[in-house]
Amino acid sequence: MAEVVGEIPSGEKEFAESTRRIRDIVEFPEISEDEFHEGLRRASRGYGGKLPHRTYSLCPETRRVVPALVWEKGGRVWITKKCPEGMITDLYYEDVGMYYRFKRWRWEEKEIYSANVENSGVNCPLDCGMCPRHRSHTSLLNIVLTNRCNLSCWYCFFYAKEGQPIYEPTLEQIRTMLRNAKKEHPIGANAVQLTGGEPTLRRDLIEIIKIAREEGYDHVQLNTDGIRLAFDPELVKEIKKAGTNTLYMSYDGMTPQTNWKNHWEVPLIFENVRKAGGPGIVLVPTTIRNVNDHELGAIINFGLNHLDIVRGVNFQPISQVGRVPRRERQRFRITIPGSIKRIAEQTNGVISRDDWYPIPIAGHIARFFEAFTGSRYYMTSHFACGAATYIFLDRERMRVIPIPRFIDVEGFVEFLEEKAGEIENWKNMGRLKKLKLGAEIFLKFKSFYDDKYAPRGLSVLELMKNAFMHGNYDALGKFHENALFLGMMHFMDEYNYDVERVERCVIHYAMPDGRIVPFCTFNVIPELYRDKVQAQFSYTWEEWKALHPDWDYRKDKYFRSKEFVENMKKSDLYRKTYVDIEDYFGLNKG
Amino acid sequence: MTGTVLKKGLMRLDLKFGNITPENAQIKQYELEKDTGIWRVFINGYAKNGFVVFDEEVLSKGRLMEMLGDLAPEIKSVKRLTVADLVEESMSWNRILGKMKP
Repeated sequence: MAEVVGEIPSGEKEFAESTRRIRDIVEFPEISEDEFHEGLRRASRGYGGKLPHRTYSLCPETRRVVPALVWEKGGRVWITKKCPEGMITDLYYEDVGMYYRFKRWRWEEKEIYSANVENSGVNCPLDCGMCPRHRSHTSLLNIVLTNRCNLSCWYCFFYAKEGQPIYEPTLEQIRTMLRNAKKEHPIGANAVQLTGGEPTLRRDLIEIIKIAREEGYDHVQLNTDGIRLAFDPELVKEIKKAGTNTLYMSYDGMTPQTNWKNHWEVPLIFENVRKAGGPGIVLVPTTIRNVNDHELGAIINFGLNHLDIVRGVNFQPISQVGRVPRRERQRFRITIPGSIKRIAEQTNGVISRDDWYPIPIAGHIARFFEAFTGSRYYMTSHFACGAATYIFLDRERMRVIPIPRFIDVEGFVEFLEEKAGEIENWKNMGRLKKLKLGAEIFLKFKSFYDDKYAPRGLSVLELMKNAFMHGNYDALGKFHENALFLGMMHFMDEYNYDVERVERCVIHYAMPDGRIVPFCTFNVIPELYRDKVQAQFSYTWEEWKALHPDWDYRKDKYFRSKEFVENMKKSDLYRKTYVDIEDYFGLNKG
Repeated sequence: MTGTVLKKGLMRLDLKFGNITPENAQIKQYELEKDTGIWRVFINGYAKNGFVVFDEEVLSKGRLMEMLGDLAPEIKSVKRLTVADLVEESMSWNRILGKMKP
């Protein structure tokens, strides 16, 4: 397909082209009303119960909160609910075995003992937020800096179109939002994502990053399409200098068709980040069945080829927010296990199904790190919300090695759980006792570690020894030089909505009205949260124009010229970025 | 607007309901909450009470009571506040569980 150039990128034509050919369809199983009610009657209740399991869900049109059945059929997990608009079934998880393996690592304790509203939570998810029913503190706080955007994505209802109100919170409001989440009790937020719209359109972005640092956030990331960073190397330097750790950058595929947002600009973005010495980049592919799910392995391979600046790839299986016909849901729906299966296929089995862990396993590890370092990084989301792993690049042997191939992570975490009592006492121990316990943990760690399979050139044991016995964690940063983080985060939509997942959400939005709201209520029920609060706090078009007389809507927009694309195609930089790269998974052999 | 919105005056009504179920409480809460004139709402179908914080410039008290009519509302108290007050009350440090006002 000829790429669309000479206009503001919107993706509409590329998407139409991508979806012309349907490779596979998810067939939703039938369930009668009687079977549904019988299922609900005998279903387990409470977080972590076995299947069939009873939860609550949201109706797509009437917005009623109704009982829902999470159940198994054909090795897959489904969610069904009876809404006033009819019986609705959708895919919940594509692998029941993985569902049970991940469930084992669920985190059950409540971790937040502050709230931001008086609502008790009886109307959840219409009572946000946070209400006292919420169970997990903010691990990643999102702050929308603007609804202005340089692209005009066809599916996006969020960005300000010409003549529409502009949402742009003041610096004072941003500081208040940051402080609010930082002061959650007893564990405050440590990481913030500045998002939009396109956050780099804000002229005071550098000041905002500095404010986030001043308010004690030790991880600041920008959720960006990267376009401005491609053409403004000074801005990259400035955002790095101001304290940005990560560019969380949209990257949907390997071709101009699948990645119509920034395929042509990525070589420049990478070059500018290299010159500035950071920030690290996390590539974020929104994963869609029949659209880009055939390119997941290639995206990881791409990340490995740019390991000096790419820190991770975080796949986001599509969230089909809004009114979506059943046929479309069957075409585009993919879940975490489905994406993992494709990655196994597309990496020739190098990264397999069992190499992944559920996010809350990090909560179990965090308990241990808290005792040792005093830092609190609890990721206690629902076990079905996300998955993650690390892969290491052994440059000597040109091999890619997922972490579970040389560390028995689950075995080690089980050991840490056994030792939890002693570890929690760490702070009160004398120096000798600390050293003794550290040595014991290190020795035990060795039994979970297999040197034969470990990547060469990285002394894992030495790093761990420094951490456990001498309290030196700085060296752990060395992991990142040879490692690529792989993550999955499946945000929900009306069709697979599970209130139990919302209650455990760890990725929140701060709103200028003092509320803090889970990602999947903010975006799935925008009429109550995202759109409503932004309408309350927006400038009218006229107010905005009066405040910014030199501002021109059209100048916000990115116009991708034919000339730019032609020059980029012929450039060495393009070849270096996309063409002359290693094939670590043997994807192009045979 | 965003800089001046904090000074905006709001009214809070605390209410009791004579005709309410958990189901219709939830439906009513959703209906009310969509209105940009309403800044906070909680309708508790179990305790049969609730409150609404709203902007009289956008939504009159009379219209609000009309919207709540089928729940047979009774006003228990009226309070005036600003958006700034509402934001301050919402801050995490003012709402530590166990230390919150009843």
